[in-house]
Amino acid sequence: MPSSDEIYIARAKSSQEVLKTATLFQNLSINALITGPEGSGKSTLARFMQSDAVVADAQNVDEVLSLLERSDKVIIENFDKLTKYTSLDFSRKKVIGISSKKIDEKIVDRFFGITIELPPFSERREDILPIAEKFLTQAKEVLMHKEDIPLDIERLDISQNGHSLKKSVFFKLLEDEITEGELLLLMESFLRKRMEGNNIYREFLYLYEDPLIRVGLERYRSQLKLSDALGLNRNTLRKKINELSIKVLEDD
Amino acid sequence: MIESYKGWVENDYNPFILFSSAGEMSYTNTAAELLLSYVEKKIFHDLALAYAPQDFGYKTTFMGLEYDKFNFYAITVGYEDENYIGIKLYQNPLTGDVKNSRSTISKEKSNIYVLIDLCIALASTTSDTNFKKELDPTIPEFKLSQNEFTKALRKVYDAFLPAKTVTTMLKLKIGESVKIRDKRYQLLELSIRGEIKDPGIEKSVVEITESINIKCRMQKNQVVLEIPIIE
Repeated sequence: MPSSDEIYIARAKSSQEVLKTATLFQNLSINALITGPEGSGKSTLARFMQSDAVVADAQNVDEVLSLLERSDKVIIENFDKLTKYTSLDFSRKKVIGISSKKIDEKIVDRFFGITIELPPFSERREDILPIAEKFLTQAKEVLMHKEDIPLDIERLDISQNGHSLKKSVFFKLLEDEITEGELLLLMESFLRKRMEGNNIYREFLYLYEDPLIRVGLERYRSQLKLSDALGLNRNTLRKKINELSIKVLEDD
Repeated sequence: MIESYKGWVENDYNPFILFSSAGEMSYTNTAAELLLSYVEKKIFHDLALAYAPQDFGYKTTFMGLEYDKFNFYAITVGYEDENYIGIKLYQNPLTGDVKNSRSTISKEKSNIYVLIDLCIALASTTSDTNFKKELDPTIPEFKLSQNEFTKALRKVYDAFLPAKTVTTMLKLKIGESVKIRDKRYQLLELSIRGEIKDPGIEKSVVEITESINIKCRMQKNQVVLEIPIIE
């Protein structure tokens, strides 16, 4: 049986309290509502709290009602989308509702003993790296990648919590082994969707210049040395840096 | 004849206290003795002095007073000489027995310590409040609706979340019981205390607790739940 840490990662103080609540919940007859933004780990937590529950989506009311009739333990996803509250009967059931949106307090009070609110990843930064490492293990398995890669928390995308974090970890692994041909294919695909207008060449030049100058500055750490290496006039380079709004760490 | 009136005072449902000019208690009736086992005598002495009539005689003042589980709606303060001053407090009926016909008795046995821990952990997910526990460790499992109880208790803790420290106390109420559907049950007292309490929760908590036979007393910085031990 996997440990709780393998299922629900909790390093931040608030997450540890959530995990404690969830662990105590497992042996009680209480209905719980889990709320939080997209990707904050609501479904993962619900499955940890009740691993043997059946899962229904509230967008299909008939499915929810049918599962409530047949099963003692039910997880209802998208609870906020439910319409027929009056036909719900949770008596002698153990139900976990999941919702990304706030639900009217009267409805919460009617059905749920407790409400667990999961904060966004930006409010529990200690959880980010361990969760990213879990995604990296999954990514290595899926992409059959054997080598480990370093993960930099500053370069991981948490704008949509777990959803964007997972994507950025997979992308980071792909970055590590992408070939020139694959990169050109990606560029083609990107440009194909945007090929409109009458100044396209200049409009998309940044796709080449921006990464080139960023990497150049990282390596040479001086605009003078970089302008030599690129074979560009120093003033031209400075102008491009300004145009591209590239942050310069150390000016010459 | 005069002696026969004493019995009426002694057995009055309303507390009566007679103070000497030095502030000492010269006489207390039975109801006052019970009250004074919960509340300091000084409070009533101060009250008597504050609401005494300007001259010898008796004065009744209507006001809402609340001390621990006691509620009063008026007081009469009187003195006939310089040596003694008396105060009588008019008590609202104590509703010890549960009369809510819609209340239910749960079939599930519950461990109250787990339910308290669950609600404290839940409150800690969104707050830095320091939760202190002073719990009698000998309470056995008893019948209690877990869903409704946690629903009420989490609301109580939420109401205290602005407080720096919240103290939870659990003890058996010795000698007190409650009658539910013609059966008497021993009581547990669960009190949650903090410096600040949001008063907005009161109605909803009372509604939930009444539905599971728990009596709830709301005080300024404290919520007290009297829970029947139904085995």
